[in-house]
Amino acid sequence: MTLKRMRFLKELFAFMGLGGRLRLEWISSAEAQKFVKVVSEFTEEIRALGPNPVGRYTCESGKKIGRRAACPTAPDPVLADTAPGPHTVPRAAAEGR
Amino acid sequence: MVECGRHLNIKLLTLTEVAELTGRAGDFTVTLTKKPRYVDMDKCIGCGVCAEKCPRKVDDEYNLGLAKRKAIYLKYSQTVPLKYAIDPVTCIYFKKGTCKACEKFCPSGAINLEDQEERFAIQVGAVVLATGFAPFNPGVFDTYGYGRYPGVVTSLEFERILSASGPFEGHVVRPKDKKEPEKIAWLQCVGSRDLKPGAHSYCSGVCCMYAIKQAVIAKEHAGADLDAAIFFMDMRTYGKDFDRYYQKAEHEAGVRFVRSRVHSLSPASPDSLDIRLEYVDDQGKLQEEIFDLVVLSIGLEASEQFRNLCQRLDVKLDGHGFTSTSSFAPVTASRPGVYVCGAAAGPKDIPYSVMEASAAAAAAAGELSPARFSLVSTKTYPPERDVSREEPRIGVFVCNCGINISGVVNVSEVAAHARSLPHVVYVEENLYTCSQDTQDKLTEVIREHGLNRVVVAACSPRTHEPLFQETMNNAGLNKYLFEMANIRNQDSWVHAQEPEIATRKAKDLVTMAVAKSALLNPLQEADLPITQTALVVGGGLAGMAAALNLAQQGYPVHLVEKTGVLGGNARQLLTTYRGEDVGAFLERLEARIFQEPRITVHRQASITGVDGFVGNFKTTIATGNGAAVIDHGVAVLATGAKEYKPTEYLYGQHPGVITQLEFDEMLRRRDPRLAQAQTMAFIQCVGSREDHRPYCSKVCCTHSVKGALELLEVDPGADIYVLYRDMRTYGDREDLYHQARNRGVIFNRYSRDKKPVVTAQGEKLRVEFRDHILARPLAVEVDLLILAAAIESHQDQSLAQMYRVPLDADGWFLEAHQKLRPVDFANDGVFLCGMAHYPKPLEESIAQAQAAAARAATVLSKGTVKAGGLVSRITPDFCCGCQICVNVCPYQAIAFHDSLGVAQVNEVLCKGCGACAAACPCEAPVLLGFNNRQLYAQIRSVLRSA
Amino acid sequence: MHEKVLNLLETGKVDIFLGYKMMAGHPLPHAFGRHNPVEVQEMILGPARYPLEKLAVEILAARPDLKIGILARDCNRRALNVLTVHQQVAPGQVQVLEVSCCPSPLQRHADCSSLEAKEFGAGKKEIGIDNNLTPDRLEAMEPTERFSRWMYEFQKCLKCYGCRDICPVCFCRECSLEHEDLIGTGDLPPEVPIFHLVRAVHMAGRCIDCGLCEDACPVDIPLRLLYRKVNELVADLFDYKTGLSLEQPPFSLLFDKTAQPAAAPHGA
Repeated sequence: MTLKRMRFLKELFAFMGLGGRLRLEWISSAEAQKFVKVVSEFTEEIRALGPNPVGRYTCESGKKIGRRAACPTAPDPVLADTAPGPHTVPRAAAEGR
Repeated sequence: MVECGRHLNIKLLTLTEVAELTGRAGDFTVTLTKKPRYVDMDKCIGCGVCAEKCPRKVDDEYNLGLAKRKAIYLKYSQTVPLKYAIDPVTCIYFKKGTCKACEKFCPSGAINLEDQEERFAIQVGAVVLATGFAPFNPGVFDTYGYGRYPGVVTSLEFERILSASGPFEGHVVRPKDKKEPEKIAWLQCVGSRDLKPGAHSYCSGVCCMYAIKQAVIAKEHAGADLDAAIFFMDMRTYGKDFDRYYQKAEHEAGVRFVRSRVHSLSPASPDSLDIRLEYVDDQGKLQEEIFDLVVLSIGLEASEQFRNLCQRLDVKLDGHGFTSTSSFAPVTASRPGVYVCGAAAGPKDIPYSVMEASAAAAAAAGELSPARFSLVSTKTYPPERDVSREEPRIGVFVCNCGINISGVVNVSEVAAHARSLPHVVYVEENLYTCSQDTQDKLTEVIREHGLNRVVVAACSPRTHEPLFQETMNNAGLNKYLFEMANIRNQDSWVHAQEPEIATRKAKDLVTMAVAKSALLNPLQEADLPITQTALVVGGGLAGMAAALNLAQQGYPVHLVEKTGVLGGNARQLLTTYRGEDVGAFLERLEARIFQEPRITVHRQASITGVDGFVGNFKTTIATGNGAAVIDHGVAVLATGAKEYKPTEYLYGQHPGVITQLEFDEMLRRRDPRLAQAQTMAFIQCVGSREDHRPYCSKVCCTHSVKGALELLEVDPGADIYVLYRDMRTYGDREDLYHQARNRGVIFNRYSRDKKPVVTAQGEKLRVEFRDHILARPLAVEVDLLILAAAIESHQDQSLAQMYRVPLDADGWFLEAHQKLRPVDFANDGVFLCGMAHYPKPLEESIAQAQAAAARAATVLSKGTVKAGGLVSRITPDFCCGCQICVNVCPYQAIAFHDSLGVAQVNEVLCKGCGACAAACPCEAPVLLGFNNRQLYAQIRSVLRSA
Repeated sequence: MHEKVLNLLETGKVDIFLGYKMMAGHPLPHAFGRHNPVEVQEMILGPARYPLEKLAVEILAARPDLKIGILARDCNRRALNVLTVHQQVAPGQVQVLEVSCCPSPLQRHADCSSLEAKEFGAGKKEIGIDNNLTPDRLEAMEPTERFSRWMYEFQKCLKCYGCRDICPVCFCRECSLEHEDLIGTGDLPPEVPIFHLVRAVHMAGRCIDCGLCEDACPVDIPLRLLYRKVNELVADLFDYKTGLSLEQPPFSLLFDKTAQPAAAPHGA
């Protein structure tokens, strides 16, 4: 059941374009090494994916960025995504956080 | 183990042996010798500095020499009690008189190198032997080359190889050269079912299952390409769901099963670690295969030490060195007042050992019931302060845990950080927050500073929360105003190499705990009185045994039987496999039941309705005299099973074809047909291990073998054939099998796709089958054909629904946990035993009945049930009545209130899992102590600080 | 049709019948009663769509004694099934008069003839999501592109709650979308993408693909597409047929009624 539930969420995230950020593993309390291995591996995977793009729609103050209310520290997501070439991660955001 | 270790009324005596037992049942004096540990248990905090500094490395016997440990050590990391011990045999100090590194480095001064052996006596009412077994040492045979060929390991060693916490971290390798094997062979029955000197004639009962499990897991760890082959004689997967597991291993996991007993092993070439296996396959052809690793599936045996102990205790042993017990009192040793459980009474697996453990407790409790509660400790607390109108005033206590935390985490920095957090009014660092003097001080500080929330940043709430909650109670605070941050197990221990990051993490953990604690509310618990009466459903052997034990323990019992007589299937049995007279035993049992004033027997009664919950059930029964409502606190379901009426092999069409129970009846009546019959055949697995009944009925192999021997008693010259698929005479039942073969019974194996063919030949029957040794068809003419018909469940859906307990795919009641809670249901207060759980022989039914009685008594003896605390509460205004929560609740704790149109939580049954709160679309359930606000405050606090 | 309605009313099988009537130039839901049989003739069929079953359930909550009939398209029937398994209405409590409109009734993704494909502007196609896309076609895009397009759509949200209010299967008394512990309040657009994902997850096992939410959305967020994906997953992973059967418990991601407890005995 957990497997199905996680697949549901994984696929929903993937549909949003946020794939690869959720993982399910069975690790027993006696499997410390496996836990370390899985967590380290997954941490690297997530690093490679870059910062959570959702963060670009929320600036540090926690305030959401609307199309009208721009956040001073993050580039306007819509403009940033379309201006340099469609749908690439803006450099500032990729390096910034 | 942890629970056992911290139980108020269990005293753990480690490194202790029983020297002598005097007195009698109910009044024993046990003389004990306690070996020196050289570590003061009260002072040792389990930090491990001693083992780190100890210069002496020795083989780790827990990992069977595959890894190293120090001379001061913990056997394994989850040891209870978590206290180090010095092994004087290898310790440098005890050999040479110098070193004392441990003493020098121990932060709590726990090392006591002057520790002496102690001898002392305690008074007890009963003794339970649970000494387990010793693994068979295959070194006694030179044919397997164990000890000489590094490619040969025992199954116990392989278990450590597979273990993630073992020497190779679960990586499947050959220990000697760390090569990843491509082919592994398991050899079954090493030391078991073997008449050679040094080996044992009995079947160890557990090796088939563990070998399959190891093969499946090895393939999981090493990849599907691993060739895992199990060499066996008979596959004995006779337990609940075991045959399914076997089928899955063969057909889904791709484990190879080879029916052959391998005679000897040799190295593939003189300098190779690989092992050559020569064997005769089931076609009779000689085969040769090379394996990288050979696992010997070693059996279980009684150790020399155990036999000596039993001699000291004056407890009789059976021919195999295990304690001798009767089938009718399976956990009672020969000396009155001494009970036995687990492998001490013969080889057995985990579920059955756990079951016997409860049974032994029940048997002892039945004997000791007058003295119940005479020695237990209880506690009283001051009244709770009302904090509802106060602003949160949080006290934070940061523990150094000796150097366990402070060796890595900068505790002062964490404490300073805590001071900066909102609502925190008091912060303190402790060397050991858990020590008794700190508890007293904590109580004082709470009063003095008017604290109304307490956060302890230390170790695991699993082990220490109850202690601190008690301190809260002592200080007049509700114990749910307490919160813990685990900065040891989850921080300093895992990030020992990165002190800075660990300190940051400790701060985050404290931030989260403080954020949540500010929002904590006091939660109330109530003790609801219960009806200290039991109801047992089913008056068969199991039901009778359970009822009798509960009555002996002092509780009124209602025994409900649907027919007019007690005894169930046992009425039709002749003898146990040990030859004990079942009829006579039943008569004695029945007489005791009717004499017992606490037992009310309801015959020809059926259950028509059940209301209530643990402690307060109301069951309606219908009898010839009308309906009656019984108030009871617990229910034991012992509704049994029935013999399948075969449609195969001319059953019901030819008078010469009968089932095993009918055969027992013929034996009992001394039916003249038996004496006249010259040739007889048994066919096994009739209706069992088939697609629609994919389980083993467990009892039939032994029953047929026993029957064949009975027939030989009637006529020693009779010709008897037993046609079987796998002979499953587990444990010492194997001796009967051996005896039957010796006395000329012909055993012939058939396969599921080539079943015997039976045709009528006038009064006789012609049975055709394929001889597996000659590999050609044979036919015999028999006078009598006895079918080992399957045992079927009653598929009692309505009873299951009334007591809200599940049935499995085969219609057996499904226990809460197959290994660890074998007689409980997830639904509190309902227990199971006997064949309603799964087919089983009489002695196992009785043990299980006693186990169910023991578990039921744990509810009855308390007198009350707890309600409230960390439970879910449904806000009626938000509830939209969709009843998703009712379906989702794993404990059946939510009921829908029809007239109000809302769901309501029964706070006695609710375990606080939160499934309802997660499932509800309209946020109606609030999980007290873990509500949305508290959880989100925790998450937000840490995200804000990150 | 009018005859049938009259017959239902006159024989007392229903007390009121919910259908549509032209009012001030708009087809609007209307309750026809026995007291005014002439008015029944004014009932129109046409393409008007409202969650009549939701209205029926609301009326029943206030007047449980009433017997109600509704004019039901296939989507209305599916919604009624969902409401029934969620115990919002007893089976058979609402009588239905069926209007045939779906080209393939009770088919997953059967497109409703009332939902005409709408032509969208070039801007939306360039950086947003064309509401006429199927889940498959959206999935063919690169994940980063898909993400940015979704974000574009979600950021348009005015938090009018139109999607929820029109939704025939949104029956909760307390809505998670207004629960301040769960979703930040007081901002526009509402927390992106949490707001819409929470609603999407709540649509699992509930959404019957009627498309009313999308019709109601003033800024054309492709909600139907999102919920379609959700319920594809519900059907594929959990074998749950949303709205197609009364013989199933309400769907929950936490519990699978059909699942047997895992039986994996592990050795001795």
